[in-house]
Amino acid sequence: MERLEPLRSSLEIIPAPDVALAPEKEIFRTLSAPVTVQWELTPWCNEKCVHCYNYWRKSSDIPKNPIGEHTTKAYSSAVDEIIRNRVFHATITGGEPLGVLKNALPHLRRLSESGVSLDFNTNLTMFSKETADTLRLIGVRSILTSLMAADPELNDRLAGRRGTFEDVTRGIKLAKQEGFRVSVSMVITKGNLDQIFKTAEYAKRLGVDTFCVTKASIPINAGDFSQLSISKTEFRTMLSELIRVKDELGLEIDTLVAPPLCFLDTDLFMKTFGHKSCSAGRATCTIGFDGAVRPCSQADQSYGLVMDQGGLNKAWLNMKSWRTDKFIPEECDDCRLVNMCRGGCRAEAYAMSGSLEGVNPYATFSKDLPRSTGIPMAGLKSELQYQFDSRLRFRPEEFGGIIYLSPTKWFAVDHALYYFALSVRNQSFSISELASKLDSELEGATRTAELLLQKNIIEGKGVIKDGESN
Amino acid sequence: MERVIDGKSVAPGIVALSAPSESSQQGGLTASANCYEDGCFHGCIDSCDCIADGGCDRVPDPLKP
Repeated sequence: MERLEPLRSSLEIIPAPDVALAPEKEIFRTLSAPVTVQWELTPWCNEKCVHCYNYWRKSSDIPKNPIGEHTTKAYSSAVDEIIRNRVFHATITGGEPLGVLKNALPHLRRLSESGVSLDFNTNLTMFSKETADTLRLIGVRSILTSLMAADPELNDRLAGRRGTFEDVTRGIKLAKQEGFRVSVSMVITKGNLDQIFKTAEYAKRLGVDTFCVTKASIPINAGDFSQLSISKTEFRTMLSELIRVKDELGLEIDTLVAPPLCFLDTDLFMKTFGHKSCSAGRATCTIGFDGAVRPCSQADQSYGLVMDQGGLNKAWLNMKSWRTDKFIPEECDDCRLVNMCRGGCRAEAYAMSGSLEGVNPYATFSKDLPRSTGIPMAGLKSELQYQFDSRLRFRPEEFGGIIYLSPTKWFAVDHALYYFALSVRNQSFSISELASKLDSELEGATRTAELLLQKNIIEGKGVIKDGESN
Repeated sequence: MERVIDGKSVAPGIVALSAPSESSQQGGLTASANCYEDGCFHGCIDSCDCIADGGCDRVPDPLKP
């Protein structure tokens, strides 16, 4: 049964921009391919969350198992392209990916066997012992799930299905028992803003590893979202409550969409959340269930199909405007943080204004922003020997390459560091040796090593013996 | 790859993914090595106007004397 065409027709394939006609200032280096991708296996979901950001959320004809010739081809091409482009990691999402796990499994297994690491975004309502065994088989270690409230009735109302709370609770418990790392995402609307701390307490009792609180982005195709969307004042309350969760419950916290930096108007906000920036079209992109390549899961702009000639690489290069200043609103032009912030979430600006160049609704345009005290350095000890993590993966780039450990732990490095890391993969080295290979003074190499240590790219292995440090 | 500020290497080997902004190129300096974005260690940006307190405390700020 092939029922995907009505959804596809809503997407517009955007041709490669003509540089001569559209001069754009590149503010982000073009990688040969994304470092990570989100892969939406299916549009189907057994929930109808009020905050759902999927662009097809209003579509009424969503089959549970849209596995026809078209989908099989899209799956196969997506896997081919992810492997061919040496993408390091794929987050498997949907819709609800567990709804099509059986059909997708051969493709996921092929990814895993090719060295692409996988994690899952799932509501866990369909999670079972058998699912756990299957996910382990394809190397999945980490799961991101959703919980909207510790109050079952409220949670189910926001999820759009009675029984969701009970099912998610069971799923989280089972996933933890089965050894998965589980992060909970609590998406905030006016309906659950006052439930953050209680929900975090509940999540902690369930044993979750990370508690993420994210403001509901105004979804594309949502119609009037004003009754649910939180105000700027409520957004501040949300961030404060999230910090309280960290301080009082000791939970690891995160927020999954980077706020406009001008919104972070206190030292604490800037210090806690100011390091995040959107990497859509720069280091990551989304592959849809239909093979469409989009900058992120919240955006509905397709830049090509994985099934087409050129596949993922062509679509990735077509996404050039996401790496330039094209989508930065004029109002942000004179902001000192503009290259990092780029005006906040572009998909949300698009949903609000109809333009990717629109103003993010949470931007304040404040010029009087606090200066972050930043993240402390790792505390490198120069007398130690160091070794690169044996799990590192490598991808050459025009400037050198990417050395990758996990979706949040990777670096772009130059040729010298890239080949040094490759050549000493299983051997320890001193900072002096690193400095020599990088043609750098010891101070610079120490700084480099501190950064690598902070991201666990290297680890200390032992004390240098006399005479080894020179 | 530019990675020199005031004649000193800044985290040599690490490549900033963001291109240097116009302001960062004043005086022939390139501050792109000051910013690691996705691998960010200080929340710095590459405009030489680091948001870390007083400029990055690890990296000399090329626009300040």
